[in-house]
Amino acid sequence: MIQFDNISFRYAHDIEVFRDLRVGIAAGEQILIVGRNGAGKSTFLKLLNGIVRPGSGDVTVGGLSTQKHPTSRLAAEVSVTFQNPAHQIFASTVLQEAEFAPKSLRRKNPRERAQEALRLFKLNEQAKSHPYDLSLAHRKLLTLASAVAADTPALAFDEPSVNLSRPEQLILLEAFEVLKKSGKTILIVSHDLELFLPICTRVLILNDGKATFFDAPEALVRNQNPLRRSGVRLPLVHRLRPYCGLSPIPHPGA
Amino acid sequence: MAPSVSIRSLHYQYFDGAPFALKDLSVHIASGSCTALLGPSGAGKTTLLQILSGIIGAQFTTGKASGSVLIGDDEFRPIPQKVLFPSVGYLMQDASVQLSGIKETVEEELAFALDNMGIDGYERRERVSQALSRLDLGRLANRRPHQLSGGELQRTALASILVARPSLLVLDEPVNALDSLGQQRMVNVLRSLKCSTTVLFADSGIEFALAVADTFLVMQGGSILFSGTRNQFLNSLDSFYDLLPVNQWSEVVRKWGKTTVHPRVAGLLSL
Repeated sequence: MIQFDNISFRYAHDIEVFRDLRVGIAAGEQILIVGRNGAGKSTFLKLLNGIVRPGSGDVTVGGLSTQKHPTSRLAAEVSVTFQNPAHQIFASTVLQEAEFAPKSLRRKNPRERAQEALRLFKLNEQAKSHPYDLSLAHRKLLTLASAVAADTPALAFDEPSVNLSRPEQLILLEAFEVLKKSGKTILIVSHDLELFLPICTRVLILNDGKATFFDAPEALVRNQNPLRRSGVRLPLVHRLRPYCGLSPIPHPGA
Repeated sequence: MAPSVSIRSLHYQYFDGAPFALKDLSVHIASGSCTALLGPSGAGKTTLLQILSGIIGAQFTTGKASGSVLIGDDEFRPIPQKVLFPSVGYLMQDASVQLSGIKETVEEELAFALDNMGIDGYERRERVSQALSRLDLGRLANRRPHQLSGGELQRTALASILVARPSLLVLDEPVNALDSLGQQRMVNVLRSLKCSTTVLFADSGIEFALAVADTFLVMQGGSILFSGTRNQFLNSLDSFYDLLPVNQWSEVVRKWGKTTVHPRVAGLLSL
């Protein structure tokens, strides 16, 4: 579904972000991407839809090379949501915001898709509100709903749980469960391992321009060195679980 | 001297007729303590912090307040009407809004408060260099503030407050942009302030709070729902299931209560 082949990338006049990065993600996987501040996590997502393009190597998404296709075409394969909702919200109602992507992508029944996505994130009652009349947490959920409304096979979220308190986190987890069941490929960049480890199929650790770990979350419990070396630690609660005779990575429903 | 904070029957509305952002809120925060303020979005955490910093009293002329706020020996009825910096240091939720925007380097940004306080010469250099090293900003000293990453901005914003040596620190989600190294560094900074500074911080998670706070407050709907020590908080986790990210913790603590505590577990959680 998503393939990073020998990717090298640097921002103009800056140090190298990726060097010979190789990552393959199968359709229907849920990938948690972690790494320290500045490890290239957000850049990784921007490479998916051609917001930035690799210096060398090739990124393919749904079989399309990002070197050969414009962002407008790649956007039909993958929706990328930014960390700060202020960087992407521009419509004057919640419904219009959610409708923008399915309309632009010429999906059938854009309004129904938008309404369904808003329901998934419990925003349907605020459909007529101005996005900036919503709380920051709900604005964040709106950006996630807008991505879901685009109905792309892959979805990529940059720090989706930042700005969310527990009630909105529960909405987010429920929504991800629905998306997972419908076969979507989901990429999540987050520092919040406690929240997302239990729901991902694999964890990708980015460090020093490379993928230093790409395996099931359970493998991180057996060997935490890749996390430590990249400046990330398992959350305290996960470090405590084995001492209490609990399974290392519990399912959220457990 | 680190002040205690006493709030009595505080009510606050942003304007006449608006819903109560704070409702009959009473709390005592001990001198030199480190208190975590937890609760869902809209509980009133930021409003409380902004009242203590004086920002709300100074800026929201339409606000309606009643009750009283006592910070150390200074009593405010109902709330402070001017910004209390430098005695109260307030870290905003969004660090990019906090910085002055007119300084060329991180180092100059840190010195800005001192320049305004009339502190110069050796004292100025000493305080700036101490704040730079405390938050591990040495290699960024000459960087332009707008070139910093989210985590670096947050550390710079805190450093620019610490230079003024406030005796009360109120921090709004101080680790929301930090990776685990950054969080650990923040834990060390707050621990090093213990006793000399009263610290109150809002957070949306609980792990950072468990690592650093000795007192826990949980807010909901503008009031204090829970106030207690870390052990009391851990023993009440189940009642916060819908409000705080405690589900994994509840399970650990429940199991843990029934078994002998492994010495390493106690070590992991010890202050």
